[in-house]
Amino acid sequence: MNYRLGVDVGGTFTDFTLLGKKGDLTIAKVLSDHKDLAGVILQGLGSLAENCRMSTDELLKEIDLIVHGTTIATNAVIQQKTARAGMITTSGFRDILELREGLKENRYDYSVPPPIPLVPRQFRLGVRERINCKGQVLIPLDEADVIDAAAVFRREGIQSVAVCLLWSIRNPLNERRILEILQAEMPGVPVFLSSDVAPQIREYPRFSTTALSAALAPLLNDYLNTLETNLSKVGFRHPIRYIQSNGGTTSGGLLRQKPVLALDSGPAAGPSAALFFARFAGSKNVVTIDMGGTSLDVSMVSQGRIETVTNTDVHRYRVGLPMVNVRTIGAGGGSIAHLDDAGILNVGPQSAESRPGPACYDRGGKMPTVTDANVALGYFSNTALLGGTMPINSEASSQVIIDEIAEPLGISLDEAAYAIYSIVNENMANAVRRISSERGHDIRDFSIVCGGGCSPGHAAAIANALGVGSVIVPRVSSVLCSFGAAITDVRHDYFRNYSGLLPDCNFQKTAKAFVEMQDDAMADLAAEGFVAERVELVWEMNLRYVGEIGDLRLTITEVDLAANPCEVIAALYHQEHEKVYTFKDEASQIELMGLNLTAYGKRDTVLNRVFVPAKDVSETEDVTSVSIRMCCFVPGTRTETYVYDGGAIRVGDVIHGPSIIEEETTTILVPPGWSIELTRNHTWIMTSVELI
Amino acid sequence: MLSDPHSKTDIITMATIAGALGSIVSEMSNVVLRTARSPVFKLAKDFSCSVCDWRERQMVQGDAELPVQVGSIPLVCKAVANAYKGQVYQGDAFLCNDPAFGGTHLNDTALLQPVFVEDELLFWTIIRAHWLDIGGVSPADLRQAQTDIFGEGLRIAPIKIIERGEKRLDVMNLLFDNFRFQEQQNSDLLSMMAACTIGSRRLGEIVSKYGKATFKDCIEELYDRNEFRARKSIADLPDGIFVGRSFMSARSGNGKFEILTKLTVSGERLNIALSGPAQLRDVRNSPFGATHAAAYHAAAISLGIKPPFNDGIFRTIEIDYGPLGTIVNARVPPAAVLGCTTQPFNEIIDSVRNAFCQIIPKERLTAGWGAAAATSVAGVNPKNDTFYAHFHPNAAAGGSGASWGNDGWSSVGSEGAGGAVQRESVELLEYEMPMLVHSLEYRTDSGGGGKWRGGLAMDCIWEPLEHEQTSRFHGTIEHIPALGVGGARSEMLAEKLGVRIAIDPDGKTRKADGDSRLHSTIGGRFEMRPPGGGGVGDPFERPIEKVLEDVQNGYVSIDGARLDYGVAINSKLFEVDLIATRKLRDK
Repeated sequence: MNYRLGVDVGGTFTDFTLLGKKGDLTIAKVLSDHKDLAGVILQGLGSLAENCRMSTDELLKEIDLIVHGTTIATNAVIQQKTARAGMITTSGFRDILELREGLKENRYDYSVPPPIPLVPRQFRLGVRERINCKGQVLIPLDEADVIDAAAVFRREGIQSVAVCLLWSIRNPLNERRILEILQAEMPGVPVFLSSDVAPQIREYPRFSTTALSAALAPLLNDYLNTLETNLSKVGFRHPIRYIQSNGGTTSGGLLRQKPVLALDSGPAAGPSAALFFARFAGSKNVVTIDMGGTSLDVSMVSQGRIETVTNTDVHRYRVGLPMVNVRTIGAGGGSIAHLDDAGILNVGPQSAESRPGPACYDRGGKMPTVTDANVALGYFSNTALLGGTMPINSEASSQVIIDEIAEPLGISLDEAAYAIYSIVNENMANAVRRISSERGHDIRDFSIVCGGGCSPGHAAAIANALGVGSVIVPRVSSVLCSFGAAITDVRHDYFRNYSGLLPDCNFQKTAKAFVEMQDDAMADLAAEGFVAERVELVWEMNLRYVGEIGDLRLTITEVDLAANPCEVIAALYHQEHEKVYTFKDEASQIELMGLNLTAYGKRDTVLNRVFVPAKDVSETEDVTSVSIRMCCFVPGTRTETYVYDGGAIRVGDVIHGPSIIEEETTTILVPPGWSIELTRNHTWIMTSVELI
Repeated sequence: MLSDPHSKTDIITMATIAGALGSIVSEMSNVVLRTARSPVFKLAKDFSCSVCDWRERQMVQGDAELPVQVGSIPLVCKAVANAYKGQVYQGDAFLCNDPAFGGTHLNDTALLQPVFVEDELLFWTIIRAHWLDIGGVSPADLRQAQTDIFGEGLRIAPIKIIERGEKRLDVMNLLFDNFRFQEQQNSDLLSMMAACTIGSRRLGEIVSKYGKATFKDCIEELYDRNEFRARKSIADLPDGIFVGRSFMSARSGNGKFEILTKLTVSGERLNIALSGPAQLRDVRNSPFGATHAAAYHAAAISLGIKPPFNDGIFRTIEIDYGPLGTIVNARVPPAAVLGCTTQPFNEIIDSVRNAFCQIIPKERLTAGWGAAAATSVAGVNPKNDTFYAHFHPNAAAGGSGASWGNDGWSSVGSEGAGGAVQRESVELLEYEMPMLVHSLEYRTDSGGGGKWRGGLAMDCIWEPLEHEQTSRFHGTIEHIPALGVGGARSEMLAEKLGVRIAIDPDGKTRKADGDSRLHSTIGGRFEMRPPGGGGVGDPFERPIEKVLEDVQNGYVSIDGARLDYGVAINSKLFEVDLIATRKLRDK
């Protein structure tokens, strides 16, 4: 009973992090195969076992927890491969799902079609019933309509059903009655109620979240069943947990109740890992840049808390539950550089992906990519990458850059390559600026943490553009999310709808509602093996000034509700509003819109040391470079740059830029003006000399 | 001679500045969304941000701004610069909404902040937003239709409200004492200022990084490159004079007003000459600023130029608004112009579009959107006996036009807003207002027929609870269907058109039929049916399986399939009768 395993299934690679009780850590990377998930996991286990000098069977016996992140839900949504779902809704409102918020994202581009609704109109069926905003029944439920709808669903082979009635959050009885009827009429078909899945006022986010749950359920159930059966077949007898979109883990049982939470499972574990490493550098404000082959994921942790957003879109579909705020743009190693119709150089969002890949992979790629620019500038090895396993044809890189960019623009190869490198960095810096300014943060107060294989080559340049002085590169950066999976806490969110002006609120009732949610939370966490001491509970209220469209989540404690709650909460809200929105309005009335309870099951925190299998380094030997490469940091000149083998560097060694550190799974570029130090816990910390 | 502009600026600086301009506009918008208080700002996002340069030329139009607001911003900027020549200082701020100076309707008020670098005025950050109230006879113009601009509210010619960082309180008081919701509007103004400040700060950082000279060279070159794109696209069009037309219906009867476009293509230059009948004694008159925005919008889409747009595109196109005193070049005063952001805005776009559609490649064809059905409601709330007025987007969600290769977007409102106005949550509406919504649903057969179908309109039925309500409309939607192009046509016309109905408790209905308002009785309801969008291409070429799918989904009825698309479908089995279909389509 010694290990915890994090597995992150991505589009191209499946990453593994094996974490021992004593803090020893082993990583593995295996090509994904979505048809044979069990095979991939076994292959990964085999590779980890080899590193630990054990057999796979022996290793499996030593693992007491597997935490799994998967892109299956996100991919199903992107590729429009969700289930044949049906919806039952209040008669007269069957188009809410398709109407969305009535917005067309780009006002000038007339060639973009609207999103395809998750449930087609013919399977969105209205039933006669109506409840008003006070929860009173205006029109009783017509049960015959529900029976008719079930008949249509049976005839059409509907695999799951979302039940979405207006004002069900005020009075869920009609939704619950429909559930009973459907269970009798179409037994075995999963049914989701909007009042259970996403209880909030505002019908569109609630209906959309419920429809997403229904549309993902059959697929997710199959996936979880296969995974659990396969792992049990190979003799794994311990719990399996899943990363959910809020960044915490949950059990398969709870995930099956809200399949929507499987969206972004995987990337959502990134911030936990980033925070873990940033703590060693004394930083609580972190922006994570996870740059892979095709895209960049940006997320933020401020004041030690992972930022979540509610009511955000995942590939144009609204999710009304808290999700880790991950912003994705098309910028990666495979991003293609091209000239647009005005002759301006653009990089991305199109990508050469892994096939054909960058020109230097020699797999038929004919367009210059960011990786090709890195090779041409000398930042990447001109013979092989990824610890020697990926041969590189540097001439191919130069040739495509000359043909596609340098010649048409009449500039040199170096100028063109440097332009590609700089422009992709600017695009990434803009993405970071947007996500931080939306939250009112000053990005200069943050450190950058690298995830993904490509980030360490670009992080210092992005930091320069943003005015950020410190970059943290965990040695496990290329498998950051699987590491996050292995260490992240369990998280569950609970909601109660409640609305009224603060002076009219019955705070005893409010406190009681929190206590009820707390009881639910303790029961759920106890079932997952958490004793009370390992549980953390956060109470929050959704508040707004009367008339505001959005609301703010305010963290409160039991004490705030004890004496003069109305005044105490009002004061806290004014303060929070000023912080987030730059002003407060003390003359305005404040309205309570809902209650949230977030429960964390805290994982053991014995992880204060992290090891990656490294070569034995003699204590006396000086740091020496492997080679010298001529790199281009300013077009027109080439600078002598020392290249180091990352595995041969000792804790406490400081290396000054310009230099390059080649690790097994990544290349760290330390440009002029920066220095880097390998700290304990196998974390590299890169610092800007100017900004100190 | 057409030649690729040669670069003075290095490629990285140029790409960086081009990228930053787009992101600056969206940062400015974010600030407003976060800090504004009035629903029309944040609920409907009825505002647009932009940046102009040292010669008042537009440096960038964002992707997500409203065409009607952003298109005429450079005209306002020029007017302000002219009015205060020699008296513009760092730390100043100006307001302007006057249609005589490039403004549109009075509520859309622009705030402009000049920014100096080393004593040189280098750029202006600008936001134009729909103010909740601008004075005038009554909020939301409810009591009676205005016949002149004086009843519509306060006209603000270019005026300095802040000088070198000091608020001119006398001026501010004079303005704000005329508005009904002073407090709310004050905080709206603060958020507009915050947007300009953020924009200035970010642009300032860029200038200090690259230097003034490089910055200016780069901006000039971005214009040249955009101009080059536009010229290339114009040069590909056949030379000649092409006439386009569109119609706006009269308030009553069968009368209609024709808007005429004379499009002249000669080599790399375009001239768009507009003309229309004498200005009306109702609110549907377009001052030159709105006409300018509409004509450029239609031209930019038709030329197939991808955003971001800047001054470079505008300088290849000349617009002639015709003599003063017509509905496309209203004389202000006295013309009332409240409707100009919706009607005749969309009709002007359609007239220009109609001319372009004769000469552009078919891949760039776009159809007209449903006429603007803008609706406001007002009454006395029975719960607290206070007067309320509310802009009601759910009652105005018509369909967009189709484009070559794509069906139209359903229920996105009118083309002047371009799909930027947000639908309201039924539950939030019922929670805050004394109203109960009975249904909100697409209208079958409302999308214009075409190989690519027009977007559907959304019907809305609601009941004012325990009080009488007045519903007020700017445009007419009852008589003229959305413009279809490329062989598009519809047989079932009635369903494509809009209608506004008051339903009394006894079931009797009253139609607005062009009238600009309706009153409800207690226990009665309103039903709004905005118009659908136009189609593109011959509807008989729409693939049969697409028509069947539309019927299965209720977007098109079985009758509609037969009449509009020539597809015969069995009403019981939902099966296509191929022989009957061939017969219908061969006719």
